[in-house]
Amino acid sequence: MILDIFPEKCTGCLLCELHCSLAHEGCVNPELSRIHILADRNRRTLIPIACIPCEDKPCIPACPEPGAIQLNAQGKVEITEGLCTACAKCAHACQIGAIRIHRLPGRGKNGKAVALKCDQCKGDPWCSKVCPTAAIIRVDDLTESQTTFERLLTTHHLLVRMEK
Amino acid sequence: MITIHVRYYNILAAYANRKNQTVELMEGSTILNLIEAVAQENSASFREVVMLDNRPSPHLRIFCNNALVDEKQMDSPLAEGDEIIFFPALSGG
Amino acid sequence: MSGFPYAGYAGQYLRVNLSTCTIQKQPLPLEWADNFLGGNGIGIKILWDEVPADVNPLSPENKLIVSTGPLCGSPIPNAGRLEFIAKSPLTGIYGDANAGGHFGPALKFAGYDLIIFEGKSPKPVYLYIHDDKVELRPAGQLWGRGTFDTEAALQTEHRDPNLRVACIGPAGENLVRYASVQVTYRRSAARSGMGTVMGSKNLKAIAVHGTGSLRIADPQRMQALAFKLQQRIHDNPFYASIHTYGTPGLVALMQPIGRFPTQNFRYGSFEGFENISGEALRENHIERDTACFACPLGCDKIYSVTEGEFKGTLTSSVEYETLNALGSRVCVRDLPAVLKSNELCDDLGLDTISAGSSIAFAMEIAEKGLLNQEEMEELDLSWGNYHTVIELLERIAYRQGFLGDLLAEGAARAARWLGRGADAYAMHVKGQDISAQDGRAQQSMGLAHATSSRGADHLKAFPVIDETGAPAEAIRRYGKEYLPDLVNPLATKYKAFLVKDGEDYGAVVDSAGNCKSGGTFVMAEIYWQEQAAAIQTLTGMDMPVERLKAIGERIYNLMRCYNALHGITRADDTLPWRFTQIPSPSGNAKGSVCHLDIMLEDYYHLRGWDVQTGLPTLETLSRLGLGNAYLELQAAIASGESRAAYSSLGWAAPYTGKIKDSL
Repeated sequence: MILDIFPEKCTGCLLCELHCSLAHEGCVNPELSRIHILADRNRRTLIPIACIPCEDKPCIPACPEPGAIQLNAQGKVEITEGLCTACAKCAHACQIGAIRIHRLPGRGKNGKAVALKCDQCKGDPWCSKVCPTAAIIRVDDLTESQTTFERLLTTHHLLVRMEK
Repeated sequence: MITIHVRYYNILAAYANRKNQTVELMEGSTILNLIEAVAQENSASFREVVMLDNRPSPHLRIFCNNALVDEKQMDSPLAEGDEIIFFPALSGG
Repeated sequence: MSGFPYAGYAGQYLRVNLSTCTIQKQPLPLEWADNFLGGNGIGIKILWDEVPADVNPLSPENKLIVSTGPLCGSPIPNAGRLEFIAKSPLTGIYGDANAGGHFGPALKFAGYDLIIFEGKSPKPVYLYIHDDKVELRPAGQLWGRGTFDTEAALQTEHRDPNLRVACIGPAGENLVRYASVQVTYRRSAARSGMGTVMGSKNLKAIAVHGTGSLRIADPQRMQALAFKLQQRIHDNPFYASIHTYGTPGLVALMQPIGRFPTQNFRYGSFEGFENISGEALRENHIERDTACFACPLGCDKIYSVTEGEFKGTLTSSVEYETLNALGSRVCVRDLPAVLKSNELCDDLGLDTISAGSSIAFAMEIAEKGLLNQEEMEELDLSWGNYHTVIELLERIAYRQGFLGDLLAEGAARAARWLGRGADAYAMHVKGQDISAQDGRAQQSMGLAHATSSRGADHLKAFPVIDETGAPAEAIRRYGKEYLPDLVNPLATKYKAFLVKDGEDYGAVVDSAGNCKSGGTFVMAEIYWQEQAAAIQTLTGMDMPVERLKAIGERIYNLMRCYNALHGITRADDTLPWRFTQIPSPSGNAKGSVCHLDIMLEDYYHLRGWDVQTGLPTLETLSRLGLGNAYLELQAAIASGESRAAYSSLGWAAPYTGKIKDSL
């Protein structure tokens, strides 16, 4: 199962971020969401960013800690928090910024910080359930993943260029 | 036959893909007959807004010559040249 | 604060003294949450306790409260709003303004339920909040700049594109009496002159970045409830029209009802309405749909003008009210011009409703020959001249010239200043300009304007089920008992009941932090029961519906007491003669006037207020735990303090001249 994302349908409501953080952390905090909405100043461009996953998965070979980040049985790239040192190499390797480092007491191998990324909520992603405009949908056909990824990459570069 | 002018707004205009429609009906036709006629002639999405369980939807708002039409007036006969406006469920301020 | 017994609240607030430049972090008093919930509930409580009757709204002794509510920041549908509360420079009585967007939740995530601003800074400043870090910083370099520029400059200065900003523009700085506070993303806390209060304190902006968490009492249950409510909103028949067209969709609907004020409220429908409708907007100018925080409806849109005289205009938050105020009220039918006017008002920081009303007032008095050549300053004040509208908006924001300075006072005070019989043409209640609802076409709206706690306003009571008749909605909320009159726009029976229920529930919504345009009023998917359940699962507060109703009633009664403290009585619960005496010429409302008196009698009975004075009785206030307020109020009335406030601070006070002289 992958996420299919359509940036032009996003309204910036952030319901995905709110529900994601709630489902994973038990409290509401957009910072800790595994999906993030990038926006330019006036929200003329909005891009939901989450791990699709892409075909290449450069995050996995980038990681120096054995087993900290790997492909799980469902074909999703998953981080094992207890093995993660928050070195950020996976975050830098990711071409769309779908992995973020968070300084959180008690989390990660060193109890100080950890990398967080989408884990597809064990099969029934909250973001795709709550998105009011179907800007994020779940797709069970894995062959679509590269199309989505490339669509995100294009708009992501557009946004980065605009911010400069 | 009588000629009735109907005006659509909001999502009804979008679903009908037009802002107005001229309808020819039998003499003595009622507002209910008009609703059924346009429901047949427009898209499924339009029909879904206008009809509910084969009756005019309680959310449909109709004006006849600028006067609000309530449920009891659905069976009132129309007259030649009547101007009807249809709105979907819409409210606010 | 981990010590606070309820989740959802940050449990702490900021008290910022701008005179001494000190900032205190204080624990949230439990009593505030228990009895007044949040938002403007806590706001009125603070005003009652801390801003006495003799305080001039533009003086350092006035206080500005910026307040979120317990739901704010959560995924309960539309829970991203916040309130600005102060004594109003426009009306001299209770004032508040509500805004959506994305600013409110930032304050909550930063760790604060509300901020109280007191005093006046010697130099322009802004408040910067990044979680624990709270500082007042110089705003000299921002003073004079529009709100768009100000927000951009702050985001650049702090290298934070996600910095949420609430700020004023030149209108607030120049003490235009209806200056707004603009909040990210370009939403307006517009009414009652809350931006004016900020300007009077030399407070340019509040900039917030919050990275903390909103604690939830029962996370799984609350998440399931939020999701269920969202789905119900989505499945509701009203969803499609609100999502697709937003409030601009109402322009077309109001024509046949006769409720679209035109030419300074003379008429109830506008010939040129098709040009400025929601359909025209969507067809010609839309870029995309956008949404406020946690809102599944996404009724906001970004619009641009790509050709013609106003090419380059980029604006959002174009609401029905604005299309009316800067469109039909001044007879403008050029949509790009209305979009430009909206963009200008947002940038200058002006309430579009009062700005439009003030300009409409000017056009009418010019028509009636009440202005001389010199005063008109070569402006063509004929109806529909949108160049004049745009020119006047700029002049008002800077108080430039005779008209700019006059109209910056709002129509009510401008009429008082001018004399010459001009007050016949100032459409207001208690000094606040009337919004886009003609009370002849919908009786309940007439009553709502007359009884609103902040002066003329449709949102305090927001009666909508009788706009065009929504029997299904009425049955859902109240059963069949009150049909058919309850949903007949022209009937007066039961309208007092509708308005009272709306005011009480509205007070709860404004205090909790969700939105009236979405699931709470227009479609009551979130009504008393659901709202109580949302508050309970989120905060852990024991919140049966009866308790929530009492909170709503308490808030509204305290607002009334505060207004009474400032001399307000039944005599001020009025409507302009245009609504009560001149039969409507338009649409479904043709021939009808607003029968205010009948509804007002009913309303006072239902409220438990004295029918002669319109003031809350001891019995009612005691029932609500406000017995002390009754005693304080009676003392103020007996001593003449209320009368003195009314005569010196209110819109009806004898005019003493320019605004700076009246400080």
